Amino acid sequence: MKNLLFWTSTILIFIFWPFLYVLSNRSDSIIFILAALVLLVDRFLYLRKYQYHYFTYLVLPLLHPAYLFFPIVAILFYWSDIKKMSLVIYAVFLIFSSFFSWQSFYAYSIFTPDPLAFDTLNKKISLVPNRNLARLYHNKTDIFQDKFKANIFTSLDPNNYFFALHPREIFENQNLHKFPFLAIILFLIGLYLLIKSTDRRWIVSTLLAGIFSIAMINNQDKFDLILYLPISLICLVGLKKIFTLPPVYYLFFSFLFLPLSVMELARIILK
Amino acid sequence: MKLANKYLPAILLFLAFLVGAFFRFYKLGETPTGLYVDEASLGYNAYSIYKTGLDEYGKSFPVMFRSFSTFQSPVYSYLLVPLIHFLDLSIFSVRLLSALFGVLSIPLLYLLAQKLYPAPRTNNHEPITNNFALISSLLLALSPWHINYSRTAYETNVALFFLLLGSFFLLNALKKPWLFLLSALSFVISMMAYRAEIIIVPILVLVFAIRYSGTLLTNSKRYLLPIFASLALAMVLFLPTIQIMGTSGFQARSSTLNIFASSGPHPWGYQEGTGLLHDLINNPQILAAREFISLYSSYLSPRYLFSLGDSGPRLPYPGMGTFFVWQFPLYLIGLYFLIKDKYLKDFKYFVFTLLLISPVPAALTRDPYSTLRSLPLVIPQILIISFGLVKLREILPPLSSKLKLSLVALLLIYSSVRMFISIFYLNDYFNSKFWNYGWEMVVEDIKKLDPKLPIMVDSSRGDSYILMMFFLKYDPVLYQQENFEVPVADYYTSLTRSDTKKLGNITVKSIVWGPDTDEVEQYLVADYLAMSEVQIRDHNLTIIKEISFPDGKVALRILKTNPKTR
Repeated sequence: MKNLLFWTSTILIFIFWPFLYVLSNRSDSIIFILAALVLLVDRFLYLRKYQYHYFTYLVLPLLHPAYLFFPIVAILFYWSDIKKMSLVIYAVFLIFSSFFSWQSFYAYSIFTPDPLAFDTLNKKISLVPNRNLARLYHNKTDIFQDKFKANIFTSLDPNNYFFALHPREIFENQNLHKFPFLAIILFLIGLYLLIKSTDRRWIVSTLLAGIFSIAMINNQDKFDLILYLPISLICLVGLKKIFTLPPVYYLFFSFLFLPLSVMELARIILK
Repeated sequence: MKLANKYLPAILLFLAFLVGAFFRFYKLGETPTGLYVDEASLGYNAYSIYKTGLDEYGKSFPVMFRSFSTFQSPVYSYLLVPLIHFLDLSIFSVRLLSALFGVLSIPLLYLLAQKLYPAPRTNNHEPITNNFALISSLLLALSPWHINYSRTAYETNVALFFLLLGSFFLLNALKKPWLFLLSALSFVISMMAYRAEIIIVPILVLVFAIRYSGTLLTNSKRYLLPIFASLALAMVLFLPTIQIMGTSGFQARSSTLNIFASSGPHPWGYQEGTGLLHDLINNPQILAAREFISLYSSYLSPRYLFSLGDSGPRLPYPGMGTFFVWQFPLYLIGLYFLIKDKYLKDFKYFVFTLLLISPVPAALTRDPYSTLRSLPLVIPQILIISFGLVKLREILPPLSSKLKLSLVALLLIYSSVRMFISIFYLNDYFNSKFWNYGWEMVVEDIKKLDPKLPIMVDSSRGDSYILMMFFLKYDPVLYQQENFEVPVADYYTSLTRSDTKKLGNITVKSIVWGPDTDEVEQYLVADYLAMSEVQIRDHNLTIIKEISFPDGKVALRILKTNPKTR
């Protein structure tokens, strides 16, 4: 019984996002699914203690140039382990792939010109009587800073994953229901326990690399599928904890979580 | 040197107080430019009470002000009466009360933080400067969220002050039991000042009772009488509010906004359709519960706190969230260490109780991330950020304390200047249209018009009558004679509203094209949406005056009809 409840909950957590993603993006979803699969392969290699597993990150910019920053950020977490020769090869590959992807990355990035934001910025500058003060506080970097900040905080918003960004959905996004909403409990427990988890290095490195790399993209919708695995694993840490508690806790949780998650899935399929 | 150290906390607290006062009082009557209708209603009803003892509808000293059938909490208007006596009715005097309570909250938070987080002592048992309380009060002084509500006339800021005062007395009442009386008094005022506190205060008191149940029970003889006296006082003071809680007037606002209400729009996620499956997935209780959790979670989400801010048009200052971005890592550090801490139990209880219950009233309503309804949340979040800063100072590599202090000072100065620019240079330009800009000028201009002709003011996009009355300082006696909305007996029960208001030769109603624009010779006052250039040309209206927003676009127009030439 306990195993059945645990595995059903696990399947529901892991199936939600990719399933709904495929439902919503039938034609152009393959690249982003492949990117998430690259992380799955990396995780497999990491668990097998394969020393050079991080080389899989180099595949990501080749899949989509917008992921160019992922390998740069992710490698920082393995800095202490990495050998000089590996680093050189990694860097050469990265520089080589960036030759092909830089222009496309720029087109997708927050650095693309934004005339509307530029007009607003000029207006702000003109409103401050002291021009030097105005330029200190409101300059061209504001546009990138604001977009970067908005992207980072969208990725850090639990409502993005459990409530389809409700109550402040992003107009041009799909606003997907990425996880059953009650999984937020598992996520919070998992997040708290992550520091003790043996898995923390891989989860934290891929999560932060994913968040920082997609924060560089103008619209991170669909690209955020790269966060699927680390966030699902955090939920799993929480789920495992609940199932180590006395039966009353996991029975009560399953009693709420399973029917409500199935109902939510049905609601989305019927949509 | 020792003398300087002795007085340093007092000097720094005074500095925080000064900085806080500057951001709350500077240009108080000028920015935000304009006056929101709720502010005008609070102010005019106080003026009416001052002049006649009756509110605008002729009700003597109401328990809640009917206002626009939204029923405003009464404390703000009653506290305004002495200010109106000395300063007359103006934007400044109406906002002054909120600013005063905003500034007083700064030293109050210092005292509360000192109580919750006692100063550590050296090996010789001498107290060390309590940086935490100082940092907390300084961060409150510079909080964009708190400043926003201190510079505008909203009841929530007054309620927050009394909530803090009640909490301070409550914590001190364990040593001096008669302080329970002052605590009860403060809490009741807080509940009568803003409705969200009606949910927050009882839970806060309950958690306090559970936390200190051991102390209270073991010394029951000492505490029994003060506690009973306090409860009796609270009941007596709150009884009039309890008596009207069942009326449709009191419930009007909550029943339209409450996500659990059976009336109103469908909950978020509702899908049209029929059949058993649709009935199952559209279960209103489940959908409402899901919406509640999503709204509740948004109040604790970094996206709303440090990036988006309030969704309302009037509330966030341009380019600013609820907190400064640099406070985000401090918030995480503070939260982490507070959860881990085993010694600061009183502090943890207070912070987590307020952190978890403050979003509840706001999350029960449909509006996304309402900083107005969740204002008490600013306190635990500032305490957590301050705790994060104190902890960061401890865990940082051994830099000199002067360098650490300089870094913090630099960050605060940089943020203060950024906020200054946003409040005093950018806000009026970008947000003036949401603050009913221009009505004060309209009132000045209509005084110069031909007194023989009637004036019609359009009210199709809001309660402009209250703005007219406010800026005209219209005699409440005359207004009560010329207008009738409900009998006094139905004041709290009837929600009917009169569409037309008479203020002497001024009529405030929705302008009807044709009868009002072509058939009667009169002046018309309307905003830019009601009277476009095409309509002015088509109806042969003469523009007497145009009042423009700071960005140059037309805000309001005074026009004259020309029925004879048509």
